[in-house]
Formats: sequence, structure tokens, C-alpha cells
Amino acid sequence: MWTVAGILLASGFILYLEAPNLARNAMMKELGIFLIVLLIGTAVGIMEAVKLPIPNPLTLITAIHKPISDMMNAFLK
Amino acid sequence: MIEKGKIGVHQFTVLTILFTVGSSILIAPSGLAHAAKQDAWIAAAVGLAIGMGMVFFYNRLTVRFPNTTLVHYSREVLGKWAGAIVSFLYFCYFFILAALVLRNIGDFLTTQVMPNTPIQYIHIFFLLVIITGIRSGIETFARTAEIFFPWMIFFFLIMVFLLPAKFDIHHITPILGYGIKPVIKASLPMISTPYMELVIFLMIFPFINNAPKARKAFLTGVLIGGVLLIIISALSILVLGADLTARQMYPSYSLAKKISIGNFLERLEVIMAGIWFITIYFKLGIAFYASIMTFAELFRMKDARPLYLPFGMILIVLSVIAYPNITSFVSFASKIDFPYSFPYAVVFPLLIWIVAVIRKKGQA
Repeated sequence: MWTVAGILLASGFILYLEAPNLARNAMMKELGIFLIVLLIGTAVGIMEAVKLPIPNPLTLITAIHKPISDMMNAFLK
Repeated sequence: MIEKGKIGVHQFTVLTILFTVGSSILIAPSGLAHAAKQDAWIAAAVGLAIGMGMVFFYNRLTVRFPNTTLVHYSREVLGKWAGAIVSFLYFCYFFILAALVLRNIGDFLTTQVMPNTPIQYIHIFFLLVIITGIRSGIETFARTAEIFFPWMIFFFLIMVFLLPAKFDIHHITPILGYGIKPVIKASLPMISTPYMELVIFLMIFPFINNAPKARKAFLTGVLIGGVLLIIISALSILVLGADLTARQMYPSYSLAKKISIGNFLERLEVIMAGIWFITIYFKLGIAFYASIMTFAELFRMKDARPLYLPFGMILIVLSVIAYPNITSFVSFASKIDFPYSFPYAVVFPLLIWIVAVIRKKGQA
């Protein structure tokens, strides 16, 4: 629970740190992208804190490259 | 371009050396010795030779496009959509690289130095220092590298000068006793980390103030970094032997524990940790910086700085979930990393270069 509160506090602090400057300079696209990334960051942070399963890109990478790797290893045996 | 700073040729050399030595100085000897036994240092040399070939090729690409980043010319050469897809893939590659390097730090600290601290907190604090560094831009970052570089070399020389007392020449013979195949096999992970990751410098190259000299600096930097890696693998084998080197996760760290001069200078492993913190700080800094720059340029943003902290949150989560334990990292690094890095390091740059030649883009 405390971890989740800490993550929310950190996201709030990042928002306070970066957003006013972007809004003042009318960088709306930058602000939009910043908010989306921050939202994703907060979401995966909380998911990790409460131990929800998060899709791991390395599993996909390993699945794709395993056959190539096996072929190379067979060749170098 | 988003980046306004300019870095000097000497600073670029230092950055390439630090990046090449990076995480490999601590991790590489084990994998090399596992596959190539006492010929680990030969495998490191084979890796360096191929790495130099790769840098030669990247230099051909920068001759054509000296003033723009990889993202910019992949869009120019491959067209809007194909260029955007390739750039996005590069963003993922650099970002995952940053996550893995961050995890290396966490693994090392939680197994060797601070076993009771949760890995998440180590990652958070280390990444905050990184973000403080790169938010000020590549110029400040490169100057910092210049200040820390002599210390890293100084620590390295201490290792090299204090260890020969512990050498056992029988550990390194017979040379090529198992034939050439194990050496080739051992050199593959070495080629993917660090040499294939050098493609990251295509994101930094346009910010160097003298392109022709920078190309030479690129070669020199990688050569020096690679020689340092050969030396550290040779030292590990000569002092610990192939078997002990292969069995440990961080052989060069154990290597420094062996230093003993008289009875007053003992166990200098903190020196090795010092070298490693410096080199990995810059490797992670460059990887994270390049991934954010790739992303910001892909979406044509005016300023990339607000992205560091939110992407940092994602990076910390990714680094923690990336693999469950060190064994699966070793298996990823030794088997999957080479085929995974190959398209980014060779296929895409080659594709861009060939299409650029055919479509007569850039400077001939």
C-alpha cells in the first residue's frame, strides 16, 4: 500500500516539475506525449508494486530468436 | 534537432571507450571462459576485430549523413512509414538495452555489496543520478566523462600492475587446445555486447564538431576499449584459471580480491567496483539518452527533457521484470542476444546504406 502511495506521490511530483513549463510554452503535443508516458509509467509501477503480471518484452524476444540461436549453436558444436 | 550541444573529438573518444568497457569488464570474462576455456582472451580479440569492422561500416554511413541522426536519415531514405517503424524498433532496442544495463547494476549490488536492499531502490537511486546527468544535455555529459576517465584508467592500471605476482602461466596453455570452434562460439556474445551496441553512437555522431576526426576517434575509442577487455579477460584466466573464471558471475571482481602485496595491501576489489561504476554510469547514460532522443525525434518533439522522468519509471519496472534471476540473464546474454542484436547492428544500417546509395540520398 505504501509503495503505491509512494508511486502516486512520485508521479504527482514529476507532473508538478514538468507540466507547468510545457503548458506555459504552449507545447501541447509535448505535453500530451509527456502525460501519456507518465500515465503508462504510473500504471506499470503500480502493477509491479501490487505484483500483477506485466507482459515482459524479453519473453517475446527470446521466443522469436530461440530457433536462430539453436541453429547457430548446432552449427558450432 | 533537439540536441543543441556540441561535443569535442577527444570527448567522443572517451565516451566510446567508456561505453565499450561498460558492463562487459565485469560480466564478459565469465561467458568467454565458459565457452572458450583458457582461450577466452583470443575470443575477446576476435570480438574486437569484428567490432572494428562494424565501426568501419558505421563510419561509411556517417560519411553519407554527417549532420543528421539515425532517426532522421532512416526517414529520409526509407520513406515516412518504413522509416518510422525502423526508428521505433531502434527506440525499443536502446530502451531495452538501458533496462538490461540498469539490471546489471542491481544484480551486482544485491549479490555482492548490499544483499538486503531491495533491487528496486538501488535502480531508483542509480537512475536518478543518471537522469540528473543526461538532462543537462550531451555536452555536459561528455565533459563529465572526460573528468572521470583518468580515474578509471588509473584504477585499471593499479589492477594490471599489482596482479602479475599471482600469474600462473600454466592456466593459459595450451593455446587453442580445443580448436577454433569454441573460440568463435565464445566470441558471439562478446560481439553482441558491447560491439553491436555501438550502433547507438549513430544517434550521437552529428553532435561532434569535427566529423572526419570523429570517425578516427570512433575507431581509436573502440580499439582502446576492446584492448582493455582483452587485458581483463587475460588477467582473469592467468590468475584464476579458466575453470574458476567460468564458474563466477563477476570473475574480474574476484580477481581484485586476489591482490595481495606484502601483508599490508589486501583485497582491492573496491577498485574494480570503482572502475565498473564509472564505465556503467556512462554506458547506461548513453543508452538512456539515445533511447529518449530516438523517441523525441520520432515524434518530432521540440524538447526531450520532460520525457526522462516518466520513461525512467517505465525503465525501472522493465529492468525489474526483465528476467527472474541471474541464470536466465546469462542464458539470454549468451544465446539470444546475438541474433536479437544482429538486425539492429547490421541489417538495418546496411539496408539504409544500400537504399541511400540507390536513391542517391545524402553525400556521396
